[in-house]
Amino acid sequence: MIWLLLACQTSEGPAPGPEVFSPPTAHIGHDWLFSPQRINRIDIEIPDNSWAILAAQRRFSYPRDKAMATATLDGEDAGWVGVRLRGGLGSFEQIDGKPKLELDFNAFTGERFHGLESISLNNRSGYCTGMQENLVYAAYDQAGLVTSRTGHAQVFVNGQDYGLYVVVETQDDRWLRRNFNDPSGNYYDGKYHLSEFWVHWVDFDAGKDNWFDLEEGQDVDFDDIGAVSQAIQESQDSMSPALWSLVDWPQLLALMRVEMWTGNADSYGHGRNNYRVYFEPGRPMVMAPWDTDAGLVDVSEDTDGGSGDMALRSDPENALAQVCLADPDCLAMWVQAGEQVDADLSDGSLLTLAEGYQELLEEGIVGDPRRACSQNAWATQTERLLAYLESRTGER
Amino acid sequence: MLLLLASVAHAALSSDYPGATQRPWAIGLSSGAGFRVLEPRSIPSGLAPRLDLLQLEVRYSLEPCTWSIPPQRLDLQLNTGRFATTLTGTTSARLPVTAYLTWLEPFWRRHSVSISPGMSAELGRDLVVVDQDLRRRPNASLAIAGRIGLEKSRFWWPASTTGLYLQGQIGTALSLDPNHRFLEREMSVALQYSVAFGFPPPPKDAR
Repeated sequence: MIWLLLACQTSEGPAPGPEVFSPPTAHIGHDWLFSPQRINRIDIEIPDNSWAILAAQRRFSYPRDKAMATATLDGEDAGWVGVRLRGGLGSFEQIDGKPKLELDFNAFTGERFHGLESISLNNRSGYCTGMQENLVYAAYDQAGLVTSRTGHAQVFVNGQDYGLYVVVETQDDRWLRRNFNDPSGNYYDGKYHLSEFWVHWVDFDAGKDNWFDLEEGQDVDFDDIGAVSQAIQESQDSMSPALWSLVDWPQLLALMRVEMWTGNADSYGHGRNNYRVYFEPGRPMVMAPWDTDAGLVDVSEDTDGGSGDMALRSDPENALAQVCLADPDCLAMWVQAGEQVDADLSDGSLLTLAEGYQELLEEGIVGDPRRACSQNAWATQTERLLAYLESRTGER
Repeated sequence: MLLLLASVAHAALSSDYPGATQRPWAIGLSSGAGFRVLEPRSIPSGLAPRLDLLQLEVRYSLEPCTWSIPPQRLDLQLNTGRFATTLTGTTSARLPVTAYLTWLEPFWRRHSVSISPGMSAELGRDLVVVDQDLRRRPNASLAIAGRIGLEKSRFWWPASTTGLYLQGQIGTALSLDPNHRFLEREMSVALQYSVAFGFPPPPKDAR
């Protein structure tokens, strides 16, 4: 028995799954990495000392340490990179499971990979279709909002098959340059704080402005966040002129409408989580989504929306929405944003994208050695997802 | 305070007092909940909950002490619940240990008021990264602690004492992680409930 236990501890991990990665392609720009038609092969080699660092990380350990590794993406050597375990309460897994990872290309060498600072490798925690995060990010894009591009990869760590991952474009300074005329503004993360076992949700609230994390830009002691929080406080009965001008309301309301359309409850609208805000110099604040893995999930009858409906029907609850929905003019914009988002997302493009993913991903999902999804689970969830998208296609 | 605890323990363990033949030990569990006040650097609001789950409690009768106002017990709390959660959930395993000297004043029938000044220390080891190598560094916190409560004793088998306490502590925590070195003030308050089995010193009016 002892020998059996020892043998289990020193095993090489699960048996590898099928090789589902696409043939190598030309690496022009980085569209190949975020293509809905490809599964790229990503190899990560983690030396022993780095493995020990990553193996020590736990769900409630913050900040997470980066470890040195080498990476090869679709056969192209990225050199020494930083590897960090991502994920919080929901999606964290340890390095010997199916961890959510960040590959930080310039962490140790300062060298970027095709201009990218880093990418996220998401472990598809909690769903079997393999495409939901991709579709939700695409939905924001289709509604004309700033968002991340996504792709898929089969990841190998020290030669072991870690299965299929969702590749997500990190929202860094290059991403700001791609999406805004002036990338020199301040970019903040509004993700929840975890202090040991206690969660703090982050929203605009005077005196709590420093709960945001500055991702890009200059430290201005959260004055830009504070101006929005202050304007919310001054908007008691109707929205103050300052708040009208500080926030890009059409953009924000469309973002919350996409969250509802995709049922993305772990977002700013309904969860005050997984969002970033950008203050472009001379322009109002713009919000961007992040970590969309709660969207388009297979909801049960007792959740918002009911059986067969992946949308959220209740109004969002956050500091900005509360002010907006109490103001008649903003409320009218909210209704209008809903109609526009319905029109934008109901043209069948998401359904077409999902059908493409269905064909691309089936073998990799079912054969993933580290995220057990039976053929039946994959088929059922995918069928429901496609049925939902189909039901909303052509809806006005 | 540490010297005081040490001298009391020494006196209790070295003398052949009557309590030794009466099995002066009691052992039990306590749990509680409250809140911690931290520096905003640790948590944005400065407030966090405090959960004391599965605290092992060991009590030792100090009946033979010959001081003018002798404490009647030495109480030791080991917060095994926090140790387990930090060990499995974080890279900083911590075992909070609190020692009290307890005075008991009869209150009503088998009820006594307990007053317990003491010290609390949190000992542990952090896993930290230095030059891409994982190393272990000690961490520690030290605090003045105290609790006041109401205890009810039961003298027939199994002899036991239940108690409801208000516990508080104030002190500092030290991290020796070279990447995140800090010295942090911390204060916390909790309501605790305990059940201990054994032969704790009875209230004065029951002797």
